[in-house]
Parts: sequence; C-alpha cells; structure tokens
Amino acid sequence: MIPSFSARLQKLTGTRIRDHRTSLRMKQEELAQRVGLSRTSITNIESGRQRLLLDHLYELAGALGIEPGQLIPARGELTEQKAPNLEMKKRLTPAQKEWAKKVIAGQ
Amino acid sequence: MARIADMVQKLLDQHGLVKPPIPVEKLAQTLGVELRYEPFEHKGEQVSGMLFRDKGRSVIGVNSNESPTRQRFTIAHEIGHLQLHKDSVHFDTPAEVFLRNHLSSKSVDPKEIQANSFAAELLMPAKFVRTEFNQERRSALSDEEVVEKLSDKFMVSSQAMTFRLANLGLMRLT
Repeated sequence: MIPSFSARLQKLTGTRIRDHRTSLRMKQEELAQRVGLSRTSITNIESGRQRLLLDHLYELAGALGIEPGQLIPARGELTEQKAPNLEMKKRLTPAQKEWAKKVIAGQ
Repeated sequence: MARIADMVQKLLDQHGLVKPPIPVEKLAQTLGVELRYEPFEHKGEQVSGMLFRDKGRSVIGVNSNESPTRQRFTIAHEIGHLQLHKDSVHFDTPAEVFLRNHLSSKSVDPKEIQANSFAAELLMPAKFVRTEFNQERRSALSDEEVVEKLSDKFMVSSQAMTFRLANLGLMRLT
C-alpha cells in the first residue's frame, strides 16, 4: 500500500517520539506515566498506528524536554514521496490496482 | 525492427552475454531495476507484469503465479518497455505480453508489439538461436525435439521458441 498523507505524518511523528525517548533511555512505560497515557497508546503512537491529539503532542514533547515543533516533520518530508501516479490509459480492476500498488511500494 | 535488434545486441555486448540462457533477472538488476515478485490470483482477471518509473526509480513487477518461462518473458518484455518507451507506467496482462506479433490485431498497442519483439530478441538472440539450431540439426532430430532442446537451452516456452524459429525462417509453422 502507498501510505497516505496522514499515515505518513503519523509514522514520521511516531518515529521522532521514539527517537527522542530512546535517546533519553526512557522506557515506553515511563513516558506513558508522565503523559497519562497507556503504554499501548505509546506503542501505537510511536509506530504510527494511532492518531495523535494535538494536546498529547505538547505533553509528549514536555515529557521529552523538547518543543512540540521538534516532533513534527517538515512539509518537504511528507511530500517527498507523494503517492505515485497510477494514471494510464488502461483501466485497472481493483484487484489489479492492489497488485500494482504492492509492486510499487517495494520491500 | 532492426533498431530493436541493434539495441538488444548492444545490451548483450555491454553485459558480456555470449550464450543462452540470458539471465534476465540479473540483467534487470544490473540496469538498476528493482524486481518485485508478487502473486496475482483473482477470478477472471489476469496480470503478467508491470514497469513503474518515478524520479529515477524503476520497478518491474512480475506475477509470481505464472510459470518460470512466462516470468522470464515478462521481465524481458518490461525491460523492453524500459529501454524503448518513456511512459511512467506499463501494466501488462498476458494478452499484451504473450500475444504473438504476427497474430496480433491492429488494435494492439504498437508499444506492446515493440516490447514483445524486444523480449524475443533478448531471450532468443538471432545469432545464438542460429548457432544452437545448426548444432542440434546435425543430430538429425525431429522438429519437435529441436524445439524442446532449444527451449530448454534458452529457458523459454516451446511455444515462444517455435515462433522464434519460424520468424527467423529456420522452421515452418505447422
């Protein structure tokens, strides 16, 4: 699957949170306690599976001792790999389109 | 078609390919192409392969459910698109990849015919086919046996080899 804009945003933000946390040698458990979320939520946020609320972003940044802006990716990082254009003369069936997307997504 | 034959010859020379079978997978990778094998199975629908290009990245997708000789032909066909055409996406069903040139109707995209000629030239270069054909002929085999031997050597389907031999005027289609 080609990641959508929001999927990509969540993924990149999550990665940044994880990077900051691990550089502080902080456990997910500890970060969770500091911001009042469950450890599962932290896991999901870091892996990009969970949508992050704006106020949580501030709390997480606070717990990590950084500014919230440091956790969000620049616009360029998000548009760099915009979904490739599958437009062509040929009409693909949904199954064919799915297959093509898998091929393009790479490993 | 002389242009296509020349292009293929150049490619073979550049990569030092002097005898069958032509390692199309390796060739694709040497050309900087990512090869992706993905199974496709959906009732009534077909896929053989595709070529995708975006900002210097090239990907060839192969339907890994098709036979190994078909997969090789598909890769060769997509390399053909890569070398001959500029479109960012080619999506190919068996109708485009395996339809024989001289049988294909006018409605078939000329690009597909070109990619097929390229694939046939690449997998079964005329020079190699003639050499191997003459060698097998000496052992007084039947046409069918010659086709079998050659298709094994070139790692192509016997159908593809039959058409190639006919196109080169080495054998008559029955």
